[in-house]
Amino acid sequence: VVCLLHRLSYALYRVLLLAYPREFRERDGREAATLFAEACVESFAERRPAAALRRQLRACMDVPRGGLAERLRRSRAVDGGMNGGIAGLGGDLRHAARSLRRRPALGAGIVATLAVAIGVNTAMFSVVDTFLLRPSPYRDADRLVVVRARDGEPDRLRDPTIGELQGWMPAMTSFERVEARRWRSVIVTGADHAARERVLEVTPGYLSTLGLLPIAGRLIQPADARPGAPPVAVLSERTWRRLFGGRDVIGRTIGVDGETHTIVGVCPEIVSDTPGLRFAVVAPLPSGPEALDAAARGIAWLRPGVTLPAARAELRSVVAAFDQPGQTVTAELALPDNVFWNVREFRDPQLALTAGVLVLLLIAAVNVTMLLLARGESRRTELAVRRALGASRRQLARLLAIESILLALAGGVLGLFVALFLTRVVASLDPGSAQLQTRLEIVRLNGIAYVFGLALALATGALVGLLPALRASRASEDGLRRAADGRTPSRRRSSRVFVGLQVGLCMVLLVAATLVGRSFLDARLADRGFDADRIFVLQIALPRDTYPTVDRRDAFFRNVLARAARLPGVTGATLGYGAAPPTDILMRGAVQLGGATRPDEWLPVGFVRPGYFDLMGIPLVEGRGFAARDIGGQTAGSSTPVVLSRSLADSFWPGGPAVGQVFDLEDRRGTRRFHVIGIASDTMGRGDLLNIGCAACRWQLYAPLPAERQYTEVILRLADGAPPPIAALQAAIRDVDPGVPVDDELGTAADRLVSATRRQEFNSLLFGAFALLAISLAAEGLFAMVFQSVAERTREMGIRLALGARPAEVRRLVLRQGLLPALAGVCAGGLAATALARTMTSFLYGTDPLDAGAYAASAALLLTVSLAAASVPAWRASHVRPIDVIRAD
Amino acid sequence: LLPLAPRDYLILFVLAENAGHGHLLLRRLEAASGGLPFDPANLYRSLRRLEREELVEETDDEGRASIGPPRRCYRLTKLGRIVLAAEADRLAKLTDSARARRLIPAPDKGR
Repeated sequence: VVCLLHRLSYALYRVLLLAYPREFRERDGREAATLFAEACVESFAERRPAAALRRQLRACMDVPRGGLAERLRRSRAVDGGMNGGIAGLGGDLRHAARSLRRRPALGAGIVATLAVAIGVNTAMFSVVDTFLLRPSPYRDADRLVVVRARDGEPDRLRDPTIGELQGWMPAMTSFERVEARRWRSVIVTGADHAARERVLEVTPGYLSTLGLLPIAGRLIQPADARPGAPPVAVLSERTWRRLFGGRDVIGRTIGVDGETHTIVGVCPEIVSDTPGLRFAVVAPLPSGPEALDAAARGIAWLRPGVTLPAARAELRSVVAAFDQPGQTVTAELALPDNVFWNVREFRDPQLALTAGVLVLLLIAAVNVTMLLLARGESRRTELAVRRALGASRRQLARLLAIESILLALAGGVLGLFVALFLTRVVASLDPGSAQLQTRLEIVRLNGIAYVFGLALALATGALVGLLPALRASRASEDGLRRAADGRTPSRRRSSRVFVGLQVGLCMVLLVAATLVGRSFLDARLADRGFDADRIFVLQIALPRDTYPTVDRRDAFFRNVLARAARLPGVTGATLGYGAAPPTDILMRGAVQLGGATRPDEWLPVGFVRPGYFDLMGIPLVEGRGFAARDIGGQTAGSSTPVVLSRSLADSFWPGGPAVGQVFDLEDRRGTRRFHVIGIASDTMGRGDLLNIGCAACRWQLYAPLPAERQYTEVILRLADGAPPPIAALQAAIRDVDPGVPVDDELGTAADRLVSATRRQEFNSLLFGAFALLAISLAAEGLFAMVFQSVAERTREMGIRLALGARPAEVRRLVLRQGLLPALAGVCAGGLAATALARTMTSFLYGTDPLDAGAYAASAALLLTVSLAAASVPAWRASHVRPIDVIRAD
Repeated sequence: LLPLAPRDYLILFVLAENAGHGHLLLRRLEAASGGLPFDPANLYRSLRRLEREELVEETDDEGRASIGPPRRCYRLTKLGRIVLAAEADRLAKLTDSARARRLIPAPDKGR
């Protein structure tokens, strides 16, 4: 029994002693355990053996505590002293800096890689944050809802009238506050020249409830909205700067559609709840009895704690009480659109870009890991010597970790500069859409992104630094012996896997970039179906107050047209509305085709004058174009002559003759009848550019332009190669009437199409930049891997050469070593890309996501770059002089 | 070095009487501290520290047991003896002042 107890307590004590450092265990462990065991045995001899034993056991609970204290003491003591040539933290830092200086190229490579990766990532984070994470810049935006109304039909939401809002809202308890707003296009005069702008008409509390503060002057006050109050206006900051150069404008007057408003203040830019609208001027919403039938959008703030469904239910019951016989109005609550998440055309590329950035980061991390591993590997000898001199594993690991954290910090700081630069570049890009522009302009590198970048740098440093540190610190006497031998153990397999991974990720990015770039080129180079380069378009909006009648408008346009036709280089001129592709006028409704009904169609429509098709260079396939008798003279109920584009006619009457056919379009305003007089060949439409269900992307309906339009396009045909007479035309219009605003955006139809492809340009630019970065990173990684392995195998190469291998054979050997993983990566990446590309279809404008050319080109490019990256070390390997190797031994 | 930790004082105290090896020390410490068992590992840890502070040194095993592994013996150094005396003096003064303020009753035999 005694013997057993002795053994048991001895064993127990040895286990407990594991808390102590090994050195202590080896020196005193056995003795201490023996003493404990003897004490246990002796406690049997006492009067109350059980109690004595318990006391012993309690005593040995002190062991772990002591062990911990001993370990702590030792670590302090070791750090303080010079041990294995490594001093304390300061010493480590000095040492790390020195060893980084000794190999500047490798260090610089790591810092640059990290800087690029972190910079791009931080910039992207800022953009994503601005667009996706921060839905609205306004106060309490999360409680903001939009009140809309509908009359019976389920799908036709409209803005309620002011009268309706005034009736419903007092009964609502779910809303903390209700405001209303509407906007309209107006002509603003009073600045240097007339301008077409949007005015936002609001209830007095609207701006302040949004949380806006005036930049100068004041916002709109309740007194301004009373009937009979003098009209006032608040300028948006942008308009203030653009039209008035930021001068003091308070008290000055501007004309809004001819009505004189006194400027009382300047407010910050208002991003609308309708995406992409900029408002130049804010004015009070008219409140008199005559305004009750005007529609305005209700903007309500839910009371804190009220849910959307609850508010919806209350609104429904409140509105139901107002029902009049034969008329059912219901109200609906919606979330404002400016949760940019809804902007699909932007969200998808953005998400893809974010994914691209993450891939880039991954590549960079892999690269840095490889570079650091290579560093650690090349210092194996040094570390082994240090180890042999008595540096502990911990110390070596710490030294390496400090080095990599130092590198990561340098990369992080540099990366933030890169991010600042990139954010500025992104903010100045033209995304080809006002709604993106308004958002891009507020993209700033934010503090969170800054911290994110730095934390990322440190985390990368710590993580990536750990692996080489652990590996290197394992360098033992064994390693020393091998180091002395002049050979280092090879880890080529893991770096080959890294390279393969990298090339694979790169392939995915490159394919994505090629596809986006190709779709961009496709959109630009596609046949436009008309003489886009020779067509010049100018949009004119006539002030309502000075041109109240059809006759006056007609006179103005006739005058302008006559002058325009006489300008040098102009061979023809006509008027149109939505007539220059890409058109953005759509008619929506149910189409009745004889027996068949298509319940919901979107038809792009252009209003044109006789001679349009000849002027544009659009060939007529069948039938005739418009003649003078087709214009005007349409009474209600009569049929409108139309010309259809080939694809639209084919869709309506597949296979059959289209000319002479009749169809009805039914929408909110009633039913209209159209009869087809001709078929024109397809032109490039907006659908081609945006890929809105491409079956319909070249649909176009041409209708005669009624005379009484307020907005009209002047379309000129230029002589071949003649420059657009922009200045002369502007002068001509000012000559006719200086009060008519001339659109700033002048250009040929080709320019208009090009600017419509700006978004693809934007996307492909970003994707291209990413792909380029990724390729250079991957090339760097491949180079590092092959270079490292060549350095490791210098001896082998020397021997091969000494034994009679030809340099070309050695070269081939090295090249194969680099290219095999690259090839594997290309294949795997290509497969992954096919899977991913399907998700990109929404912004590949008509380009097949499995386009073989894109894949082949990407693969070829990657393999070429890989070849180039591997050939330098290969050349070096084939020029190893055997004598050097032998001498080194 | 002063004041000594109580445990170090005890170790020096029992070593002052006689040099000894671990087992002996443990027994005497237990007795000196009033029967509380002492953890051997901590004993050795303290001994190591005292050794580094040059209060204690290792000696040859004098009373070597005929069987079992050789055991290390420890004894006080000169410095150790001086430090022990100084600490004892300090403790005595503390005890005196406590007694002067009547915190403890009769003038008895110190420890």
